Amino acid sequence: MFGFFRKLKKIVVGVILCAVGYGLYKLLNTAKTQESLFDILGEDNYLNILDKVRLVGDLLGWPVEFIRALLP
Amino acid sequence: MNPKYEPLFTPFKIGEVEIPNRIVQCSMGGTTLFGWLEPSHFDKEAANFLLQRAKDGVGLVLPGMQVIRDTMGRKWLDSNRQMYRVLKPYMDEYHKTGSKLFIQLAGGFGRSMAVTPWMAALARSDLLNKLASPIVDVQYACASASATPNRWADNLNSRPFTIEEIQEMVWHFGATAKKLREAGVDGVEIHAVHEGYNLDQFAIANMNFRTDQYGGSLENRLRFATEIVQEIHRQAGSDFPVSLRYSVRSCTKGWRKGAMPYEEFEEFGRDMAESEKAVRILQDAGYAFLNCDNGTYDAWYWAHPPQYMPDNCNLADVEHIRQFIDIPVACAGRMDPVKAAEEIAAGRLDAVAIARQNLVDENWVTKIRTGHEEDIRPCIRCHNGCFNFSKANGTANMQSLGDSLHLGRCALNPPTMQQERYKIVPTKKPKKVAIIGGGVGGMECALVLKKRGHTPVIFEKEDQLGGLFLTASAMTFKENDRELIEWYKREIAKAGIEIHFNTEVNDLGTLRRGFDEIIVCTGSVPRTMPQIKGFEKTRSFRELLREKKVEGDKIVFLGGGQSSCEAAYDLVLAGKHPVIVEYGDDLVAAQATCLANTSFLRDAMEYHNVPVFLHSTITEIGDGYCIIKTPTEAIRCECDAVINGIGFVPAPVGEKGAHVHRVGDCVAIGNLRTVIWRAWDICMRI
Repeated sequence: MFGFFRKLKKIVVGVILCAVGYGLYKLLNTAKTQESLFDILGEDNYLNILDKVRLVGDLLGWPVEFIRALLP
Repeated sequence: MNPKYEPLFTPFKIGEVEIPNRIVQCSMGGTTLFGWLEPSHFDKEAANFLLQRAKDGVGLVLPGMQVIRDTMGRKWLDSNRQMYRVLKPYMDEYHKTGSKLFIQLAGGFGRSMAVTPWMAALARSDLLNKLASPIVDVQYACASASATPNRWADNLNSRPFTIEEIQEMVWHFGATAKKLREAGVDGVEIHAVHEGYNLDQFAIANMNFRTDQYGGSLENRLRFATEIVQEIHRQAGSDFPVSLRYSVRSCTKGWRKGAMPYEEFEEFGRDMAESEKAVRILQDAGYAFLNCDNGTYDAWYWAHPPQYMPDNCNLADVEHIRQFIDIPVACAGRMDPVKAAEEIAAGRLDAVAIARQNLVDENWVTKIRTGHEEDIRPCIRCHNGCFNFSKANGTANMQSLGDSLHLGRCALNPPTMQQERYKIVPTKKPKKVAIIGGGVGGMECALVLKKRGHTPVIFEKEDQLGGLFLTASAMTFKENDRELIEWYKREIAKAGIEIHFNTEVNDLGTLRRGFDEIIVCTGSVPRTMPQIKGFEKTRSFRELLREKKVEGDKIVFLGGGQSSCEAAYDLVLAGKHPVIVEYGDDLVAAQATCLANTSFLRDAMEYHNVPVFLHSTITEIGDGYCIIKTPTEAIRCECDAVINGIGFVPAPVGEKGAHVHRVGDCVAIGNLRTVIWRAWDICMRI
């Protein structure tokens, strides 16, 4: 019983984290957020970070496409 | 339309498929409809780009090469059914433009696989390769006709394909072509008995030592290619047109050694005599179109000609080979559309194949058709955005991971293949923006700001626009670069942008009252090494190339980077005798400079017997001499001048601060791509 609730808790936490991550990603993609970050971080830091974030996003896209390709 | 272009806009047929005009967009890596490197899927960015090309009026569009078996994940291209379901409505939309689309299907890279250090490590170890093979099988990706040395990584040989692997691949070509036809694609192009790719490695005797039915005679060496077209016709129908990407000659002297365009040499790859026979075999097998140029990965500057190669560099060879076959033929390689139109009108050529210009200006075909050719932004063949695979002595492919994932972009036109990242959004708060510096960075900023609705004003210290690029474009072979400057000047004039010439701004405070934002685009200045005795006697590139103030025959370049090598080549063409002294392992050993460009410069220096001192430096500069220190000796070199080629340092004006931005080399030394993309990054956010 306890084992089941422990697993369920992990799944719920995982889903919440994914939802938060997705929400942050959507927020980051809005013009208003990008403008604010640009002002807060300064243009050099902002552009450097954005490049890295995009690269990570590209790499994360690979396993997504890999799994999609397996679907019927 | 100017009548000289009219022959380009006549239709022709490939098999039974009518192509509306003679303009063919060649495949370019990265513009792949089903993804580049990652597991195949319908790529919306590429799909939008290709549709836009069709709307511009390109008659036949070839998306980027599609390897028949995914490099990552290893699935065959015909296995992703969902991808073809999405393709069908796209093809319906595509066909409304009137253009045709052939998908280029590739038999792989073989020894030309541009392996990075981690890929080379996997390929060298059977155990590591096996462990990684569910995701990526580098040994398979590099497999070739025979065990031949990789073009990029040292001490790495391809393994030979087995007969079963070849026949399995042939079958999948057929299966994929069938699915593509069902989805509405107009034809396929087989990649490639061309450029030293895998099928070309089978075709070339010095790369194929097989003793089975795929090696030996010319017919056997072409068997892989002929079986592919026959299998496609068997599965997809004998009337489904199949084109072949084809190199007439290899222009290759040996492993990793190309031939200069004016050089007499013994051909290591395919020579004209063999090509004359090969094209007949390929036509008889069923190929309906040959999309031609020259070269191999060892002679990369023929297939991807940089600025140093002549215009229409492959035309004579392609027109020669056309005489031996009945099927239509296209020519690629620095093709001038006017020249192409003349040759088509004369019946010597059927179509012109153009690649990079389609990245630089998305409306170039429309501009020709409407008589606005002076508005076309010219391609300068830099390869900085589209194709910057790089290599130096002792390195594998040095391309950055970000660039490996995204080929087919453009240094001069950021929105190409990056439409979500770079787009003009009109501003809601128009501002007056001072731009200090009228070089490429300053001009690009001004144009972007104007399009967004701001009011840019340029302050330029000289009497003309162009900045450092005026020196960089001064060499005789840089006519496209000079065209680019003229294009910028015309665009700035058309946009009505205010310019203050002969106005040097050293104090940003003088501008703060009249302007809401300031962008500093003041570029760079030459680096100095005062610890070298007599360094003050060195001359600059500006004095050499632009002001023509450096006289004499024997000019020594301290530093073997791109600027030095290009300037040295310019001197060679003028009959002079340059010398290059470089501290590192190789000439132009910079990441982000394409091997097609760098290998030309290295091969040219060797061909013209330019003395190159690697691992060396200059320790003293006197009047009429310098002392070159090599690893083993110090040499007194009599010379007429020493050029400072050790690089540049940023030269910004004023301090950073609120409403003060920096663009270009005054931030960090880069190239046109870093300058122009940064200009957009900043100006899209003002």
